[in-house]
Amino acid sequence: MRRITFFLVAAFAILLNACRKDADLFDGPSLNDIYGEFSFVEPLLITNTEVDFAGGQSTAFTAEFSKNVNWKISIKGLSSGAEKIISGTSNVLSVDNTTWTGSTTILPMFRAEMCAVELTFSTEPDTVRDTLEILAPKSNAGLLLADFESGFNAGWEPFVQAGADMSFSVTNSVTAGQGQYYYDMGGAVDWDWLIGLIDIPATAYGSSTFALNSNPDNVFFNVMLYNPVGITNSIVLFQFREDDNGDGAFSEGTEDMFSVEVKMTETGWQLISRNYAELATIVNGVPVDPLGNGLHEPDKLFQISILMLANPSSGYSQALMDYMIFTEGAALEP
Amino acid sequence: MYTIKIFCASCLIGICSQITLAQTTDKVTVNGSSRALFFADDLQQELTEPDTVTAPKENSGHTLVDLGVNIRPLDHIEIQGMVRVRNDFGGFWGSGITFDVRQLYVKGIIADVVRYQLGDIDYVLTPFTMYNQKEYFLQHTPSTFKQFQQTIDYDMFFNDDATRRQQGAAVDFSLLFSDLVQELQFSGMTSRQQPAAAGQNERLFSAANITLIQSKYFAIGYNFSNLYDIAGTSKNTDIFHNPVHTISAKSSIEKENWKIALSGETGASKMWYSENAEAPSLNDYFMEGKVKVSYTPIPITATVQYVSVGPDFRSPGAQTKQVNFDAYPRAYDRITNDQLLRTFDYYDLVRDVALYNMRIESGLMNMDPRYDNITPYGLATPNRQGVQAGLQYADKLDRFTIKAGYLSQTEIRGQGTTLLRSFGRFSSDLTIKPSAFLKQYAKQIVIDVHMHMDQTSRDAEGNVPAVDLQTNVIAGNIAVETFKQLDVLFGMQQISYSGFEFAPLRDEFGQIIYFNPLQTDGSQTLVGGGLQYRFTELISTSAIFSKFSMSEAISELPPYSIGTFAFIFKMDF
Repeated sequence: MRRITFFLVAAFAILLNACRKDADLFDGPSLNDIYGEFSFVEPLLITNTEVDFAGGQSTAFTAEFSKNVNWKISIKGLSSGAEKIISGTSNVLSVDNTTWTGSTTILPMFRAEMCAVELTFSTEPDTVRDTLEILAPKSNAGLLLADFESGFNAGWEPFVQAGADMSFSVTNSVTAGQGQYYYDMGGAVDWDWLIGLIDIPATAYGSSTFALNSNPDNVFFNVMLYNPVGITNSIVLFQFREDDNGDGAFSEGTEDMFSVEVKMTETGWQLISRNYAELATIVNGVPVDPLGNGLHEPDKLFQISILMLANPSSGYSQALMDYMIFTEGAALEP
Repeated sequence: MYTIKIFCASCLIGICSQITLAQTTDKVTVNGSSRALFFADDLQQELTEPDTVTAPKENSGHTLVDLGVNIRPLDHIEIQGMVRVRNDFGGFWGSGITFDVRQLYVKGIIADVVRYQLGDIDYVLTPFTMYNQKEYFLQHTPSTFKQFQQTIDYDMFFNDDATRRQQGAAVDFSLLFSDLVQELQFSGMTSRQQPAAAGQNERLFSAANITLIQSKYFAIGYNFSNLYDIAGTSKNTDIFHNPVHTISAKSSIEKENWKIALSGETGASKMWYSENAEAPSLNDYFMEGKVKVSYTPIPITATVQYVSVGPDFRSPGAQTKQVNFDAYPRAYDRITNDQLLRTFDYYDLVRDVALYNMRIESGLMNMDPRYDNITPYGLATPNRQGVQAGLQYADKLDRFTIKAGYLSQTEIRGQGTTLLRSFGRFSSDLTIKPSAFLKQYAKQIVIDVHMHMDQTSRDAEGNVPAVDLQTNVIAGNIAVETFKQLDVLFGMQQISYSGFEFAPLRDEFGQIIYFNPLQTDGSQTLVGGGLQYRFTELISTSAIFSKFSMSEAISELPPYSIGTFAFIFKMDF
């Protein structure tokens, strides 16, 4: 009895010993990462120093360090000022964690230009610099409404109040959000909130409605807006009018008009992206019930209106606009 | 509060008024304990600029009475209630008096078969399931100072049998057999660890044991413990679970002059939080085996024990520490002109009950590698494997006892590196009674000496420095009985430590999130002596002068010493 029991207990102990897992090499963070000396085991290399993003190419950065560190790669466009930041924590840089397809972290978007590459570390003083050249910037799939590189679309219908210092025009006074040119909307109108507007009918693109997916969850409206330094009163209102009944016209009050209201607060370029399914009906800045059938039907989008607004007592207002595009499946990754 | 005091006082008066009646019958008996304790401290700091902020002298103390009433209304039912009345010195006119219910339980036997106890219960299982392990470096406090430590043990219900004081219910019963198996014992308990509150679930601890006693030569048992939350007792959906299952066995063999005792235990634990993706799920196991050999012609005993406890083995009932290393001392909590917080030292641990913990805690409590880096969580310390051996020679005439022990362990999994720490401990004890050698001297003289040396080491790796921490403890005590029942006492204990170690910093789930480098070179010495008069075995009084010195070369705190006159009167009844 005793022998059998001891045999069973011993067998149980041996079985447990065989089951001991050694998946974890050690407990806690690596002491080498905390207290070890930092050095480059492999230097920083750029896999593609002349990259054609528009042609589907990408580039990546490789290096190896003596310990895990928080690293940051900053890529700056020397002409545009665009910046891409890739960061992580590891001891190896590889295509798995550093591949760049031409997107931008801080607007404007990259152009065909030389870029400065800088690798830095949060806990180490080391900095490594290099350069790469963008042969062709990234192209984005979708329905491009305007990038203003070819001027103002002749099918658009602008209305500009007779205020002071009015500037509704395509220009390149500051760095554009994309390419070289953008649209400048500015002026002072002391009797009305409206400074100016642009109606963009679908006919400007060759059809009675915009060529968009019928599923609103898949459709995203994207536009870049720029708020100049010192301007705090600008409001840009985008209106999306649908031809619910398909009669080739928009009937005010009986068909849906969804809106996006952007109150400009931060200076510089910013990307505004909205899912079409989440657009609201807004009257005088307040969300209300839909006026038409209440369905978000991007394939019935009849006209887009862009209203430049400001409090009439607030004086001069201005906003710059660039790269207005509908994308499918996801918001624009500039 | 005042109403409560009046109520408690009324109860006391009521109880006292019945003592006369009680003492005339065995159905009601009075028991309890009382003590008076006084410390007069004098702090000296080694500073270039004198400390003009901290008052160097502090007096503290209290008197208390634990008055218990034991009622046996029936043969098989016992009720014990105990009220503590405590008056801190200086709390005159009732302002310093507190009344507490110290313990309350009902116990009895149902149908002459099942024993039960409700209320306060003391329960112990095995060193890997439920065990109240005293810190190793505090197990050898010289008896001159141990009487202060014993007041802490008494207040915190730390008993020599390693039981944990819990509030809950316990039952046990056994079945006797006439053939093959002698007895089958069952026991179980459940206690409450924390009440439900906003965002905090009710937490219980349960334990159970089934032991099969085949004969006096062999027994095997199944042990279970579990610290767990009760879902639905709060809005918190993080439900903690930590069950432990073990099998233990022991056997003994007696042949001619040899006695061999074999024992072992093995089991596994699992700790997890349901509904919390950030919390870890830890599974691991342990095994332990021990052989004890005695040769009766020579009173010598040898012990060899093998232990392997997995790094993820978690057993709150066994690993919860008595000392709360996050606590701060009550005496001289801030010193120097900058009023720096003083971390507690060995002398505080000897006398300050506020540094101790009774509740069973989840995860691993913080520890200080300087005091004990090898067995901070007792035998169930996770991430240890190795052998310890001991040798004891006990004189047949009880004139002296010599013990020696050696431990050699390593980690199972590295911390912060794949390299493993190795641990070594050498210990020796000597108890000698010179009076036993002197026939003409009838009174007792007892000399106790203890020392142990702990060594932790790990090789350097790249720029990560090597771990090399050494802790030495020396303790000695002399008790000389002079006149009748009047003892002269002298004791000293020194803890010194030096070297380098990485102290792990753990998150709320017990996972290591960082390693703080610990460079240390210091020592703590407590020396003292005095007189003790033993009225009876249950009543004694002592007056002790002592000096405690603390120095740490790498610390913002200056070296300091505390001179103390201590007086203690103890009475059990």
